[in-house]
Amino acid sequence: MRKAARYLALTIVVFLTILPVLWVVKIALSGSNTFQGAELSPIPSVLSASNFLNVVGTHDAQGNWLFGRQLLNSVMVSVLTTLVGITVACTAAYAFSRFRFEGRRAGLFMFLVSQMFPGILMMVPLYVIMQRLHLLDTMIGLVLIYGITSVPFSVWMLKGYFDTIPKDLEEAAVMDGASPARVFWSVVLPLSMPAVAITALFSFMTAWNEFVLAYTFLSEETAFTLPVIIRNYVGEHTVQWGFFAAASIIVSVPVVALFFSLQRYLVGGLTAGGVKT
Amino acid sequence: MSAVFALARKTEMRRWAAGLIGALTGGAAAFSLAMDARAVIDSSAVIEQTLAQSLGAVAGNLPHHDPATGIGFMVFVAMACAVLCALLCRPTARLLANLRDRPMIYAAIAPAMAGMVLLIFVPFFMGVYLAFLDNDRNFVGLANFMEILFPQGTSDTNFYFTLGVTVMWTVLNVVLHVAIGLALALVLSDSKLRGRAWYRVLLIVPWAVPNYITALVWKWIFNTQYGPANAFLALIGLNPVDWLGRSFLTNFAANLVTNTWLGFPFMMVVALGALQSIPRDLYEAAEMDGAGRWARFTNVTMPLLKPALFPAIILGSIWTFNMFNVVYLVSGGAPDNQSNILITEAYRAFRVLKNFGMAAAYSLIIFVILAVYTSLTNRLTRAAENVFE
Repeated sequence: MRKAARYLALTIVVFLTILPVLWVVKIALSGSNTFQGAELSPIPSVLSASNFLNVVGTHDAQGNWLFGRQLLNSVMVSVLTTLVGITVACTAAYAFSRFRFEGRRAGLFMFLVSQMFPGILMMVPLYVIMQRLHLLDTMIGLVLIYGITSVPFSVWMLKGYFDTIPKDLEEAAVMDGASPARVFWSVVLPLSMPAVAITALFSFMTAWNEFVLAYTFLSEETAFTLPVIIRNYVGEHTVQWGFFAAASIIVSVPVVALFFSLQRYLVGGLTAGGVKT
Repeated sequence: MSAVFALARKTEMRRWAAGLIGALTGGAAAFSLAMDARAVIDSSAVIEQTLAQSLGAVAGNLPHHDPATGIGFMVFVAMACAVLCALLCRPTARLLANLRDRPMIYAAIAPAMAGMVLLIFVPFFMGVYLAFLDNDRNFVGLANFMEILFPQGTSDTNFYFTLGVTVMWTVLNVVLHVAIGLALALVLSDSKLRGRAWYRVLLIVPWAVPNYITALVWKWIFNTQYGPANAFLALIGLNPVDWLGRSFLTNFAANLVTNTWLGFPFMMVVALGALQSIPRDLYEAAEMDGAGRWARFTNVTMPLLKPALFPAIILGSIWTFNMFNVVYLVSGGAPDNQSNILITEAYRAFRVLKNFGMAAAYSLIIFVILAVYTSLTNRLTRAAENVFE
């Protein structure tokens, strides 16, 4: 009896959690861009792919496939951000975890402090810096900003995980004559895959989901990333809810899929980072 | 004895020298910054426009003004730099010595540090500089801060009201996130529960969805005409509520519900991981000693959860405190900016009042509040960290 109640409670919570998602799916499949009235049921009454086809099938004035181009931009920016973020964060986190050196505390503190800077304050100066470096309207500019903004969180998490790996393993490798770089590459890194996977996921998400900077720094339609086009469906006065819903699903699906495939790492990877700060 | 004096004088000398160098570089930096301010301010009009568009708002034009080189500002920065250099003289020397001995370590952290300095700290300090300028680009010292902290009758925003709302917003959110997340984690950590993986996967969904999409979806849910929220009220026989209308409470509630939906999975996952790392035998031992369910929770689970939960709570409260997307996109501050939190109020100073100095000053105040909060809670965390030792 007690058990049944628990399952029931859990199912209700889960249902409430995914209800908004179900509604969005329903709108996306409705084949229309407007509402007749409020509906509570999450079960789609119409099954139409027209919203999806409209979102996916956009072309620019030259007849090039715009959506494909924007999808490619998003993938490129996100993958590059992940590579930059992870490389930079891994080496730094290892140094912070294993060595005691002058400036270590200050460095770690810097990472924490940087999390508190309000984005509004940085937006204008960042624009100027990008302009000076001639990186406006380029993919590299976005990749650099996203990569670096994801670094503080990544370093904290990876450092926490590296801290939990016993030093004996590395000492054994050093005895065998391995260089510090080699120890890191072939001993520490393979053992830290859960944390690296999670960190990669977060870096990827930072880039994949960001739209304010992307919209501000990019002016060419062909350079847009997907979140920018979603925003375009939600205008000041009219909202194309059907297109918005369909585009939202398209943008969310890859991240949700990544989340699910990495979720067994998620639990262990996050906590190790949390325990030792 | 005299050797000690000589040494003392030497360090003293070094400090003065460092201070002098600091003053010179600070002055130079201030000068170039003041020159750069023209670029900052010129492009702020452009950015303001694109930004406003990107957030679905009506764009306006910034009035154009000449930048002020601000002698007072240069002196101010030079003095600050001098003090800083004098204070940092010893650590810097040690750092340089360290750098000579172990270049590998510094090479490993250099990319991260360089990137952070260029793309996070430099923009931050440029923003700080703007906080001391008025709308005519003159150096006005602390005037912007005074206007915020000591609001006159003419001012249409009250800092203290917004601060109260922000604190309430942060506390309620974090409490709800932790309570829901922890409760779910406790249920899900039971290995006898069937379909655990499925429940877990589904409960993480809100975290995986981009938060601006979430915010816009919830704005629709709370729509008076088309929103399912009112459809539900109609179903149980209640009158529809104008959620995002003229009432502060319903607007605030709408924001809160949205952010709760958004935020509990993070706490749940953190708690789940921490629960898994608690050794089984501790529970068995406690059970042997006759500890009941509640006693086991308070004496075993909670103390061992704390080291993982505290940092997550600190991080979570910083994120919530600055949760721009939800507040801006769901309630948009309605009614009359009452449901705004500090970060959206800063944005309003930027976009509506067209006062970038004021917006920067607001942002700086937010930063100071968070810095104080973190340093205070950091002590608590340290205390909590000792559980395992």
